[in-house]
Amino acid sequence: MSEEEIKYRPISVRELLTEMQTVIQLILDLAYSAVLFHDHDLAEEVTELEERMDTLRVLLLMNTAIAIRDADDAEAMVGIMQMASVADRISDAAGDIARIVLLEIGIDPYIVEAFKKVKERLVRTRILPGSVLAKKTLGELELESNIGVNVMVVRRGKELVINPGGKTALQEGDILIARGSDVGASELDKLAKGELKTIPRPAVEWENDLT
Amino acid sequence: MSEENLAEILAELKDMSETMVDLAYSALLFGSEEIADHVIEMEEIMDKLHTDFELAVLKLKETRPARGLLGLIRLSIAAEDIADAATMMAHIVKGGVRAHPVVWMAFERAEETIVTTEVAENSPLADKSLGELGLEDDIGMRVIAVRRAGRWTYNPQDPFVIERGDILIARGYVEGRERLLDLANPAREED
Repeated sequence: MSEEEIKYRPISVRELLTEMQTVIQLILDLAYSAVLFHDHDLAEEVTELEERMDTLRVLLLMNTAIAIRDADDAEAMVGIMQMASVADRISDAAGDIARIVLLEIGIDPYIVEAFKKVKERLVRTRILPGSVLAKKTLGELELESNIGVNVMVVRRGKELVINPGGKTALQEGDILIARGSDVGASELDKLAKGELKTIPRPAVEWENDLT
Repeated sequence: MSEENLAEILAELKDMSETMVDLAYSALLFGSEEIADHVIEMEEIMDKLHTDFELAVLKLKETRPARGLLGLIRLSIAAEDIADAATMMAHIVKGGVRAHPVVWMAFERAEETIVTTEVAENSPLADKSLGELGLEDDIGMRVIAVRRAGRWTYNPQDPFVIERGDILIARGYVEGRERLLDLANPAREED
């Protein structure tokens, strides 16, 4: 952590709090999924997001501090400043959950089994050279209708696009975090790694399996 | 207590901690003390769940490997920590964080809102499932939590049937707010 690198820039308090809310929901989602599915990649991503939260927290403090002109302002802003420490506490707790995975403590295998029945899971994967996903927009790829996965985050180095839209173009080296079925998640992983060269068409699902 | 129950309590600890954070932020962004009160109330349920869970885990110490149980204990402590943080946030909202114009202005542009309402005797919502009602498509409000007889259901799905006396917490666009309030309580007076 290197707080001295975070430079002041003017952002509205509302914008910061809204982004903090989004990142916090994401970090909790990732941390719980990491531990319940014993997934190291997801746990690593929690650590990345902890840094993001830290930046947001420092920016929130700076932007509140700069808005304070007198005692009345100071009294009003105390609550907002406390929000910064609450957010910090939540991302710390998410970090603690991720470390259950990263330190190889793990949780009882029986519980992991129980959660495997859950229909959806998160996946985190990196786009490798030669992947069909590179140089295409999410709109062109239609991953949601084709393989049933919803890309929640695209991370390019330190840059983070949360809830990317159809116009977001993917590049080699991007990290994707997505939600989907077990099958969809593994298809996305294979597409990103180049093990799967074409995007699968949606499978026909039979309500009553006769086998 | 069976291990399956343990998984259920864990799922509840997880869902509840996430919902509390979600609600606490909403209480702040949309300025709702009522929602903040719900968060504070959930904290009490959370405390009890957490204790039940840890006791159940400790009872397994003779039969299951210690390492995996340690992981479960750490996980439940973190969930409790998250719930505590959400509760702190709720208290900050109740402390009047939004009262000063400097702060209040920061929240002015909200297009989304959150609303809490009780389902009245004569509500057309009663005895219908969320799937049938399609509130999200029709009026743009998504039910995120329901309280019934002291218990909360988080993120209820389509098959969930609404009953009279249920307390709903829903999120959506400002326009949907009044329509949901009217549906839940047709006899209500405009506030």
